[in-house]
Amino acid sequence: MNSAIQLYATTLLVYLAVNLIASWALDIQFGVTGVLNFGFILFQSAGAYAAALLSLGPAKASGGFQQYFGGWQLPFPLPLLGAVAVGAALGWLVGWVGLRRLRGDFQAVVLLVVSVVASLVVESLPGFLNGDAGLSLVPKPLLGLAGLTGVSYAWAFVGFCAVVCGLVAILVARLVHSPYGRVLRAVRENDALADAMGRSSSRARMEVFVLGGALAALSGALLVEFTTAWAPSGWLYPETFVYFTIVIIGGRASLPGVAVGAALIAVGIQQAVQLFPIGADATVLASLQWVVIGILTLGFLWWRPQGLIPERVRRFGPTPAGSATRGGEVQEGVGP
Amino acid sequence: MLGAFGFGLVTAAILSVSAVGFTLQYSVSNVLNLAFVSIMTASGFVAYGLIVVGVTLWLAIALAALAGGLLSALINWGIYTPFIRRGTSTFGMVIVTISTALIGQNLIQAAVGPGFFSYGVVTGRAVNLGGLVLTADQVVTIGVAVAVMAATYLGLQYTKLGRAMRALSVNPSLARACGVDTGRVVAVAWLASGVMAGAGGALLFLDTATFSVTTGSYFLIVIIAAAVFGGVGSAKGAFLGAVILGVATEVAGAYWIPELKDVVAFAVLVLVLLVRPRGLFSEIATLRQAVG
Amino acid sequence: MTLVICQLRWRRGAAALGLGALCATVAACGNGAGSSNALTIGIFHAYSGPNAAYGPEAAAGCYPAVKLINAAGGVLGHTLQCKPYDSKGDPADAVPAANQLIATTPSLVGVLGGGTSTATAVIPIFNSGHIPVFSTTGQSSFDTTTDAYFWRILSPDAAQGSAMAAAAKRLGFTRIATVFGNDSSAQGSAPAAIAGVRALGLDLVANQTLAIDQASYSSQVQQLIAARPQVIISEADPQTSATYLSELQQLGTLVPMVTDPVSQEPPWIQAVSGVIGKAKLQQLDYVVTVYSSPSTSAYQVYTKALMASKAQVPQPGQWDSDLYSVADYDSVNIMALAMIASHSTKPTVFNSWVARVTSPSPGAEVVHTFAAGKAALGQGKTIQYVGAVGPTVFNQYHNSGQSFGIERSHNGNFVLSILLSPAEVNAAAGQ
Repeated sequence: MNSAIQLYATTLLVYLAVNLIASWALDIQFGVTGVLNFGFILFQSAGAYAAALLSLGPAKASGGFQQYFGGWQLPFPLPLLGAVAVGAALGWLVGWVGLRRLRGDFQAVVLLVVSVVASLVVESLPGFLNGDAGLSLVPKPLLGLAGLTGVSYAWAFVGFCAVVCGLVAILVARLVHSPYGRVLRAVRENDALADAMGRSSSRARMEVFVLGGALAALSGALLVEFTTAWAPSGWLYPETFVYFTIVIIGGRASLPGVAVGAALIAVGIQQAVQLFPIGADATVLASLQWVVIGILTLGFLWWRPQGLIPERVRRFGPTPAGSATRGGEVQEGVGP
Repeated sequence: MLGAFGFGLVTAAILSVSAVGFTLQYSVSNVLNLAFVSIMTASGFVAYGLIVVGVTLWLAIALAALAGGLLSALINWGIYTPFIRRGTSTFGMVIVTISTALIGQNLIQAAVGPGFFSYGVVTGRAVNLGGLVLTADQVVTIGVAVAVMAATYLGLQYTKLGRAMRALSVNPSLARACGVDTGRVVAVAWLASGVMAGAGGALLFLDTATFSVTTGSYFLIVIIAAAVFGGVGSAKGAFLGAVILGVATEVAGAYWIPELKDVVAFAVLVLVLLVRPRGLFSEIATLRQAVG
Repeated sequence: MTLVICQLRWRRGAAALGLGALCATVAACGNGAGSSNALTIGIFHAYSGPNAAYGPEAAAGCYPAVKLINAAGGVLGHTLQCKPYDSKGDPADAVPAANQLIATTPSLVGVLGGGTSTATAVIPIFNSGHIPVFSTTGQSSFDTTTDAYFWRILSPDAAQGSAMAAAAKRLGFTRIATVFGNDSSAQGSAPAAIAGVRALGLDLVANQTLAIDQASYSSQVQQLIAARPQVIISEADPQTSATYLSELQQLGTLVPMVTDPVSQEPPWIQAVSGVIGKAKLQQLDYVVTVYSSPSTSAYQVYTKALMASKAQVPQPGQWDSDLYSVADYDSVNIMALAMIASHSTKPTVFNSWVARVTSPSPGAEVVHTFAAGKAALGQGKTIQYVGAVGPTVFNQYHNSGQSFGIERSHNGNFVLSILLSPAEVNAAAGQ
């Protein structure tokens, strides 16, 4: 393969890993626990901005080309970890306000408003995160180390993303199939019942909000370290909806389903778009892409609400609960 | 700063028509319709199309409001009602409505493109009303809003249909037991809400002077804020929320950081959520939860 | 894990394909590319999103150029073609899209693209892919770039800002207000404009940043009226400008404006004249732009070819005085001439000839069109291409500055009223 194709392939793989992490993060919130986080994209964005600020160094050092607050130059894994911390903290803060005792659908809309307002603030205050132009020239971590540049560096980055993605998959699978995961599903199915069983549903919601926020931030941090730039145009509120579509089509609370669903949406839609050579009608095509996404979501909700690979619903039979859990866990963890 | 107050009144007028329409339909049908802003945008472009073919400004806006009503009823009939009949939860319905919003918004964008449009109404001479500087169009806008509010209030208070709507919003099963034709009442609520969305959208486009497909999207923040502020599901609350927020955002913009005008609405929203999550006037949101 | 399945977020631009699909695309690419020996110029700009006008704007430069080049016999036995690609104006979308463009287009020889919002992310990709990229970005980080394949014909945003300040001084105004949108393009020139007003010793009576596309700007408008400026130096998108000016007209009186080339673009003119009227706009607007004389033969050849490109460029008339379209037209011609001069269509070879076919040198024949350049090169002469934007002389960082002029609208056409000298602009830049 020539280097252009290899670079393209590595780009695809990095985006794959980033999106798997983000989709699973949303799945914990939406699929497993039933929290409608319509502000999801904000958390991915917060991670991207955090990682950028933690690796760019002070704004003055870049010759005043872009303006932002703070700015530190931390060694490699620290910007990622910092982003995770920022995502978790933001999850706590937004959850504290947004998860108040409002009806679930209004809660969702308030979270949507949070994400719209956040981008409004960033665009309105150019000195905060460089406004509409966004942050750019984010250094790629460890570039040039051990002679890694160009194609070899891209493959190394893919490897790193695969490792992170694998760790996240293990974490999420363990969580979902643990007793705690059952609490989360109880909250989804009937929060009053969960409360009655002695589990605070609002606490559980808050916990998945923090965890999902942290993972979403991780996905954003990985992405910005690869693309080197992040701007408000990349986290408009409809972007949240893509992840919802992925989870709905794949199958709520089904980790392999979510991964497969995403693959199908991505490849399916993209190939359809590729069939049209774009020209003057490019804007129409871009709009129709969103229309297709919306129709797919409605279609799945109507014809196959359980998704392509439905969640395994465990029934408590005569077998001891513990062994059944473990069996399910191994099966799903391996995936298709 | 009286000028800011005048603009605040115009914003409040448009916002109240939109927020009351949004809330009215929500309280009656129990569906949180995120496609509301798409209906506003579509109606605004209907008005634009009519003006382009030579219809006069205010007739075009009236027809756009009707178109909004039809569109709203159509969306309810074609998409929402089937899902509700299937037993889709309120939780699921919000995903249905945002899908619809996304489809609607992008269909409009595919049709009109990314460009900027204008009704072509050159700002007329301003009139000075006791220190408030307003154009004739702005005065009419405020008048329209007052008329719509009065009609809504009288309709809800004194007509049989209005009483049925209120009954439905407080306790649907009881209303049904008392012989209220639920389906018809809900359909009328969608139509009325759509008319208000249409009027709100067309007036918003008149107010911003220049508009594109995305002009309405930021307006969603203030509509939601007004609705939650006044109390989820309360038409009266939405009206008061709209007036207070409309004026507050303009005046706050004048004294504080003007760029963050819409953020003021958001700050109010957060404050209300923290202090009084049910809003100032309503019990419906929590009541419904208890009823199921 | 489930990593065996290759998936991508589709939203991240035109690139999200599975690996299998990638191979299929590579194989199918020859079919889509038209005639087999055609060389491709990528138009890598936003066709959707907030900057969706950038794509059609660049296309209005590419198609007329390609049309004329092919009519003149093409380049070294090849024809040229334009291939539009949607960057969506967002770095996260643009990165995979740029990679896909390079990987799936073996005939790619050059790119017009990398708008302000995506430039820093995608230009390194084209640079490392050895694809010459003629950018219209205004970002100052490229003022001293060492990317060998980066070329910028138009002056950066900062120079535009300085020129606007210089224009205000030249027009005799002393009380200045600056009103800029908070979008990336306006914010590129705002700091230089404000610094320029101060450097020239003028009185900066108000300095406003507008959150774009709001329903009203009444508070800023009142602040402006209270400051009593003689002129507004302004750059903002159509909706923002129109709303602001309509409220200014309502609450006070309009004052003259010094604006940037955005105000020569059709959407802006439509929006603003829609609310304050055509006559008022013509009377008050002073557009500061890179001066390209509409009477030059290069410019006339361009507009003629543009009007003949209706099939690829809908409503071509709207772009005929659009600076970016004109610059992209020149860019394609320069690349084609560099290929002929270097006897190669390989980017790694002809890239270094880009500066040579445009720089003045003793004995070089000045040419204004591709056809004339090709003929001169055929006779063994050296050439200096002076295109529709005027002379383009690249410095060591592949940047080229031009002279700025103040243009006025006259019955829908923009004509030069005052030419600014480089010294005036430099004074505003504090040099």
